[in-house]
Amino acid sequence: MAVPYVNALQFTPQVGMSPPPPPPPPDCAEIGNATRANASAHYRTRIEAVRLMMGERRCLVANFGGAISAARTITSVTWRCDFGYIAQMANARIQSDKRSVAVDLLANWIGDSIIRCEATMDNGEVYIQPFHVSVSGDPIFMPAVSGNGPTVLTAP
Amino acid sequence: MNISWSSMFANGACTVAAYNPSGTLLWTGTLGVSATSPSFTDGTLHCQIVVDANGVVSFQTQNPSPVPGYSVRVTPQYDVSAKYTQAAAISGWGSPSNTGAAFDDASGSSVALAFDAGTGAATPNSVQFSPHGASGSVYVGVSSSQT
Repeated sequence: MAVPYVNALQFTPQVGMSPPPPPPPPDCAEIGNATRANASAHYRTRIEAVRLMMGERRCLVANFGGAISAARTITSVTWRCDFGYIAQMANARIQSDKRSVAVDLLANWIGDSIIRCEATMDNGEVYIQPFHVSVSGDPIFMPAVSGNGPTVLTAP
Repeated sequence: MNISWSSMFANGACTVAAYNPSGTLLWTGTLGVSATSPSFTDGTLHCQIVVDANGVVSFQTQNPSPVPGYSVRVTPQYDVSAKYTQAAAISGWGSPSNTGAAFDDASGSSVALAFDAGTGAATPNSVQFSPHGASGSVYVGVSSSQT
């Protein structure tokens, strides 16, 4: 009669994988150029005028595709805002073409604010695109107002 | 960071190896779920390795007394270079966790344990430890990562 196996060490070898990172936000696809600046290769001091109604939320895009050579890509971006109570920024990112950048923008309160986009290229060059954000509206229709937005956002 | 764990055998068969306390390889082979190794011996000690349907590995002996110092190594045959590996126990010692330690259920004393992070698909992650006691009541929790 066979001798039974009486001693046993048991364990469960396992493999695991961390969950995949969340997908990047989709590229901005607004029609028109209300909040989109197409940076010029020749006129580097142009300030893009952005006029929005209070409470509007959309993305602000700086497209450097026409200002840089085809070989250049954007490796990082910094968005700065002088007055975060009027224009609230969020979610700075480089878009999938690597030649334009975006940030979410909430026209939070009536007034003017300057937003400055600083895009750093893969060769170290820095291109700047300013925006003059003018927010209009009537306080009677005051939307829910949140506090100050950030004054600096970077990506990645 | 949340990591979802699954049996190392769920993705395919693994190479299983058994060593005696001197580090001598006693047996190695490929086992999948619901598989049993051939019987092998170390001197007069008869041993075998069983993998059940849930991927639980049992190193079994016919010696009625504890046989400390033996080791079992499980190495996936698939690429785990971008994954994590761990060995978790099924004993009543406690809930499996990533403590990096192994204990005998009865005495609470440490069990020798070695984790090999591997260097890629050719030498993937594996874990090795030595059973301390008997009765299949060994709690093992270890994890590491390879990037």
